[in-house]
Amino acid sequence: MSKRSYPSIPSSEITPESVYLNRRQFMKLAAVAGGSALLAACNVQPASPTETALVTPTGANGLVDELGSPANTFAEITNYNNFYEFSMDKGAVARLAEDFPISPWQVDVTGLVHNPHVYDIDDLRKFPQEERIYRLRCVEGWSMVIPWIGFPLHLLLKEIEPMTSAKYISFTTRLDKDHMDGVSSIFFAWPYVEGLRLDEANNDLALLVTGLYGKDLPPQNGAPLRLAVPWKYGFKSGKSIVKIEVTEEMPATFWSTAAPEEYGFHANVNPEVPHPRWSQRDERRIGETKRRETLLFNGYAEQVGQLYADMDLKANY
Amino acid sequence: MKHWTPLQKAVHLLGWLPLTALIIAYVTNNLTVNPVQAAQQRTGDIAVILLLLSLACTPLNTLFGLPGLLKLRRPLGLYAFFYASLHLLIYAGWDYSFDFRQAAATVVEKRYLLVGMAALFLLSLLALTSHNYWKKKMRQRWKKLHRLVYLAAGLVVLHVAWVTKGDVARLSGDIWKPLAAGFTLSLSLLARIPPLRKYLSRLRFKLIRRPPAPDNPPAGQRAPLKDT
Repeated sequence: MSKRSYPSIPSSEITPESVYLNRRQFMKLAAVAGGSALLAACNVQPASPTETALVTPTGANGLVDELGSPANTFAEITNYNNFYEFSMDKGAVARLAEDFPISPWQVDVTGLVHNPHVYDIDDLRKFPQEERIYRLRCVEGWSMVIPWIGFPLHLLLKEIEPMTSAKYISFTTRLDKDHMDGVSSIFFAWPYVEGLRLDEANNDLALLVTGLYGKDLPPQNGAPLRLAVPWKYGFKSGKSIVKIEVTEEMPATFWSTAAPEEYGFHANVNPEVPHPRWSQRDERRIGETKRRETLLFNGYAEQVGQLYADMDLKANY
Repeated sequence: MKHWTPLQKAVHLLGWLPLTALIIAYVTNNLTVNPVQAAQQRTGDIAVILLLLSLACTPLNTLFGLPGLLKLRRPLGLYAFFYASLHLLIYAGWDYSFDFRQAAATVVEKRYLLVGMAALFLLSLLALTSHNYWKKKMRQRWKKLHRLVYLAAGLVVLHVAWVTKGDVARLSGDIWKPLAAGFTLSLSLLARIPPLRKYLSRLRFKLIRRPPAPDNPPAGQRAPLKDT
């Protein structure tokens, strides 16, 4: 595999991982110190509950999501992957995807757009990259917290300018028979296609991901380009994307083709809407000992709830 | 200790091997980052395989005349029950931390769980009455009771079909496990249907020229374990 770098991030800007991780601890300590100084000035005992909350350990690396849950480790995120093109064994994908060629890589952005364009992956890395710590909830009932690097999908949409007739957007995963053993399975309709409504795609949470933990995305996580739509079940976030198409018709997607009564197009995380054969009320956060309750829209109701204000969530699962 | 045939010894080895492998995988951190799910799936898979093996003994004897296999039905069935119990214990204890309120809230939404538990209940009846004491005491009723294993196995296949991500009826999704289990069970049940069984028996006689061994030799007239 050839080595690449981010054209958009000069090497002087890249923080070594240890510093990157420590920086967050430092910011927390600084906040505590600042807080204590203020409290001291008002002559209040510093051992307040607020302070305790601030210094609560937040996992080995100090990364937390906005709800205060610690991020999963790099090892956890990169060794437990549902990527059926390689294998149905989540533990085996990392090894099987090791030699998956991800350079050169082009993404064909096409369909009902005014500016269709075949983007080189390096062009896509020129969009302003940022870190987003997102929860990922798998339809199987487990979840992780992942610090992705990427850019909002709406920035790309702005550039390609969807036509007024456009309503949907689909993402196609690479189908590489030479490197993906799993695609020989006759029980699935390859390639993997997932999609969103255009208004969902324009929500700021929808992220095109190029990296993880400040590094390039590893193949098992969908290198070099994947989607992260954190309020939907994980299968909606396609990996190793080679084609993005804007359409008027709702695209036929991989899982809803495999089992239409079980996997809908929307697939919003919702504890009140069970999978026909299993509950979605709770989940196992990888690394935790107890199961936790699943949140409506995976905890992003405030950001995305308005997208579904007039929709029957039970009928549109 | 009674004298065990090499086949019986092999079955007991086979019975403990998966648990040993599972424990080794767990302590060496080789059970993925989600060991609960991995252990749950593995114990379930093993229980299904052992149960299907137990049910395969009778037709294999019909087909190949290996009465020694008949002695393996009980230990295989008991090991299947052992791994199925472990499977439920991991679910209730490890996955749900014995928090029955949380587990109960989701039970009605999980029909695979209900059929799985029904199968385990049936298997527990069979395990409890597996000893020769009960066999002698219950006589004909014992045989009737233990025919419930067919129902249990059917429920188990349904359980496997309902936990997969896919649709067996549509032949799409991650469905090779329920397909393989259903196929094996169907073969082994079909071979028990009297006309088919007789046909298989005769077929063997023609091909191998061995006298057919009785499926359930009554005590005293037991067929010799060695091949004649």
